[in-house]
Amino acid sequence: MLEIKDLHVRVEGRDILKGIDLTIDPGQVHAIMGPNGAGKSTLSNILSGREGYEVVKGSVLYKGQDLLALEPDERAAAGIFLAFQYPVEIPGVGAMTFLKTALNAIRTRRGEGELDAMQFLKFVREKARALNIDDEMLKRAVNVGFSGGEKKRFEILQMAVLEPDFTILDEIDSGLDIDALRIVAEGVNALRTPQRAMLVITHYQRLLDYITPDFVHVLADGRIVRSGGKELALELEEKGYGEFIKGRAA
Amino acid sequence: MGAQQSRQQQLLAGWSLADAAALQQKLPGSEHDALLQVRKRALAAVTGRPWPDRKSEYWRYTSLQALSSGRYRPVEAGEGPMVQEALLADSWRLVVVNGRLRRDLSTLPREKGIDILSLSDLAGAAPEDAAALLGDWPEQFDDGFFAAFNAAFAADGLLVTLADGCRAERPLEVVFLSSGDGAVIFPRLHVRLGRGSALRLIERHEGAGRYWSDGVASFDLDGNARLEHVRVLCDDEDAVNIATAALHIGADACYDGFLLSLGGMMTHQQYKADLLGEGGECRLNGAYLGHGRQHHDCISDITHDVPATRSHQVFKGVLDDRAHGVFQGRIVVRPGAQQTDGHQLNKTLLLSDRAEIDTKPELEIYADDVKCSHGATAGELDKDALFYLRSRGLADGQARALLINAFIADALNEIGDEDLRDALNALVARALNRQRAGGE
Repeated sequence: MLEIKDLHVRVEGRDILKGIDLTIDPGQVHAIMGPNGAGKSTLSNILSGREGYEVVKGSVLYKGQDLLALEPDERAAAGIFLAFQYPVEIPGVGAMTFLKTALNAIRTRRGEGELDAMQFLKFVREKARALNIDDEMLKRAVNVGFSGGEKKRFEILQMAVLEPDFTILDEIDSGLDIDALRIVAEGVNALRTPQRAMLVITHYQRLLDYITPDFVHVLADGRIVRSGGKELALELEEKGYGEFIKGRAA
Repeated sequence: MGAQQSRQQQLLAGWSLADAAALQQKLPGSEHDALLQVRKRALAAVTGRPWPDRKSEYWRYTSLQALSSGRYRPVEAGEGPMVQEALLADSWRLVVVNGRLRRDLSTLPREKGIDILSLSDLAGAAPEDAAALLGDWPEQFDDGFFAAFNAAFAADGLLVTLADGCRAERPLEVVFLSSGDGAVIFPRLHVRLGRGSALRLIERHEGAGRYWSDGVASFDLDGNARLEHVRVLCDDEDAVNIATAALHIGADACYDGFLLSLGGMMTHQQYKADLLGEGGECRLNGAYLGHGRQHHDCISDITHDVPATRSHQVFKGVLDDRAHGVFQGRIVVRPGAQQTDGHQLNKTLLLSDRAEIDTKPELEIYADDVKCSHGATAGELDKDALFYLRSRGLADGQARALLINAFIADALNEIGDEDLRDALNALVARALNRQRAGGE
């Protein structure tokens, strides 16, 4: 589904990613772990199409097409979804309006036709209930006045509504207490199917207790320095990142 | 010296004082001496003195060069109508063509307590009253230059009166239609609300051609009266709309106004409000959209004369291309006007590097127990918000439109009446669509 080859990325003149190779097949969940500044967010941003990142070398293929040539909205239509580490507040745009506009934009591009107001309401209410999101929250403007937990749950609601094929979760666990984390993880797990794939980016092992990955990769200083199964996360938890960074520097 | 000399002889480029005096003689009502004398006094007030320029407080950011040197003449009679659809289906409707009320195109209110008079009606029935109405031009701005200019040549005008306790059921829509290349048009609107009366008023300005509308309006609210007033400027893109409005707000009365500036090559709108009775409230909000080389200048000057009065202003604008916006807001709290609550906010979204906003808040406070605030921001579309929307599948144009609409909606939400708000929302959405279509 996703094939990253020798990816080098520069941000404001600094080399951040220095040769990433990663292949993700349908049905798989990959976790990327690493210390601050390793390039985790750069990787999620480059995959979702944020401006300001210069690809120096390498390629990314998504379902066989050149992902880096697509606009952010084209990527969304192709089934890519980024759950933001810091969801953006948009004053004046109601959460429901936003969800409906996004869903219908994507449905239209896929040639599926728009949902009418009633169909949409029913569709969203069911998904929202599962995430413990009440109607009151959806009456507010997008992310405005949301608590940290509400913002993350709203990200997962968007994911549930848009039903992406490939999801990137960028530090979805940051700022969540254990109850919120459980709700978010359940929401994510509900979307796991043999056809869908996910990339889970996190600093802490804790998240992976709830979202079990098939593969774990350690990202340090712009490179994947080690890959393994889910047990690698536990090893990291025990030893910390120091060893990996040291090992690379030596 | 040559220019000054010619200014003495000519009121408008190529139009002499003798021409002006001759026109005054022909205006409706001038056969009554009282009216003619007021017109002469108004003419005297604008002759022999320079036009306001950038050294004048309220013309600092707006040039009058195109008007003072261009060929403009007062129009003598109304031209053919271009009647627009009513904004609200159930409204009473007054259509004013080139400054003159056209009863044949109007649907006059048939509600008890609402009285509509044109200045020419009044001139026939009570010339002294007509003279008083014409002669009471607001002098607060630029010594009343453009208000006096209007008084000198206005052929007609409207006087809307609501009796004490009359709460108009239907909104009143006044449509000012203007036309003619180089025509100067002098709309006049006077609204008097008796004690405890209420009115929803829509004032629309539309037209075709390179005209110049020089308007005067006054709104007098007696105790407990309530006026919701939206003023919508959709003038021709070659037209100029200059206007001065005077508001007198009595005890526990509420003026709830909204200025929507969409059309026109240049608009310059001055509001002078006086809060004269305790418990009085002045809400003056607005939105301006500019593209091409449009220029929108909004000026407010609100005086809290007595204790326990409130004022509230939110003006938001979206400027594209080389459009220029101006917001000058002044709040004066007179000595003794304690418990004044005065707030003012101006925010502008600049969609192009060459768009420009000048914003100048001014607070003059001579009492110590008051709550007053002002704020101003100008900026581009939030890039993070734009990316967030696009990452959810919205195309660039769609994402921008959503953000721009949300930005302006914030101001439009200040309109309390749902029907009016919906109508203005629709106008704004259409204008933004046009702007986008034109820009691409």
